Amino acid sequence: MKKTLFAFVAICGLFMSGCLKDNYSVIHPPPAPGPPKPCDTVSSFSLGVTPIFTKYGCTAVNCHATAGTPGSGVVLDTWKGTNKANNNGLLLPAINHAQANGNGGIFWMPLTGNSLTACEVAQITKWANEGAPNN
Amino acid sequence: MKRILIATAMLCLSVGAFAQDELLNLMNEGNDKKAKDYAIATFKTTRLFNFHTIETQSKRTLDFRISHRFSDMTVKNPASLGQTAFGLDGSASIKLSLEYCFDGRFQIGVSRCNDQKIASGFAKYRLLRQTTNKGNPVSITLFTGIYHTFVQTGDDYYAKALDRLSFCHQIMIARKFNRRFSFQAGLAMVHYNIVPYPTDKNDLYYATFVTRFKLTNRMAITAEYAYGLNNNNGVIPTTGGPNVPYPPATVTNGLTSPYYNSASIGVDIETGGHVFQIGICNSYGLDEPEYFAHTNKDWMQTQIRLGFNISRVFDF
Repeated sequence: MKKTLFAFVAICGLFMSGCLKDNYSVIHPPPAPGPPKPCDTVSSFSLGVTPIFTKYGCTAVNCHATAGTPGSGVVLDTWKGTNKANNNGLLLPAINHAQANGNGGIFWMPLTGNSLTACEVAQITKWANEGAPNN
Repeated sequence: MKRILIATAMLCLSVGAFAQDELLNLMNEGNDKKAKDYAIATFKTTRLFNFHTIETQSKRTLDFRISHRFSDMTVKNPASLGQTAFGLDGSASIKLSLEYCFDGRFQIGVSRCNDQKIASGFAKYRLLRQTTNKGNPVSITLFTGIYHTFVQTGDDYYAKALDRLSFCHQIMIARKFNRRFSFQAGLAMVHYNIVPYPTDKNDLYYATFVTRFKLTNRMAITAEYAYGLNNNNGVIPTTGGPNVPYPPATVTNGLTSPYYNSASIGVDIETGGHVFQIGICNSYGLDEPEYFAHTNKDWMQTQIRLGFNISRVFDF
């Protein structure tokens, strides 16, 4: 009896020697939020400006597409139309909201009420300030 | 002279009386030894249905056990009789185990279960045995088990090899009240080397209750229940975290209340050299860390399943 009791206690001890107390969420804490990404202001019509217009639905029919009836005659799905709007001073005031809504017949865009992010405004502004290249 | 004779006679009588007492004591001791009968067969086998009982096998015997738990019976849907035969068609968990007892008290075993791909080993020691007259009113058995999962999670949840281990330690106290009725209560501790979420506990404790009522010499009805003393219920977020390998959670209001107390009812049938145990339970897993801690089905919602154990004993 003593031998087998000793064997049992030894087995208990052996099992307990493999005992850990890990918690996955402590070992792998969620990554801390890093510094905000710098705004990548590439001065490009096709890579920088057009994707922003597409994202906010600006180039939809009856908004600012060539097809249908473009609002205020502004066409944004071609370089030609966008360049024209820029030259006429309609593009930047509509997106940077620097002046009151409707001032001079220029309304804040997009009409959905969502403003472009600061980075997106900076990107379009940079492109316009660099001569609105067709690139 | 007369006084001396009287004193001698008294001495003889007293010595005689002592001798008689000693003889009686010896006889009583002899009787006691002869009468120190242990209560046998408090339960039919070493398991009730899922849970261990205080029983160990007899000396130098090997027990080969096969256990099955089928899919959810879906009893609320009568059409399931044809569709799944009340869960018999569904995926089943199966456990094969080989267990050996050295001296009627000390038993070891190894097993493999497909649920969570667990290979396990255990040792059990029968510390105290109930006697039918005076002596021990209860039987006490100690249990220790180690479980290794081979599940691949696809992430680094089991980064350390030892994290794959879990353990169970139990103390079980039982009494055979009469020929028909036995009852066992115990305390079980399940330890996980790793748990997934911040509020999860590595050590979980359960109060276990097991009972048997014998209907005939070869048949008994059984029931078992484990009450979770410090469950992890209701604190697990539903998104993020590792690919937790064990059963999925039931989501309510963004939190989970995934695990229920394990309970079973069953029938023991003894035939020749086999013991059949057929029962209904809410647990799918067949190893202690699984059925105590990861039962994600609820009796109250009739999420129950059929199962059976077969035990075959070989003498050496």
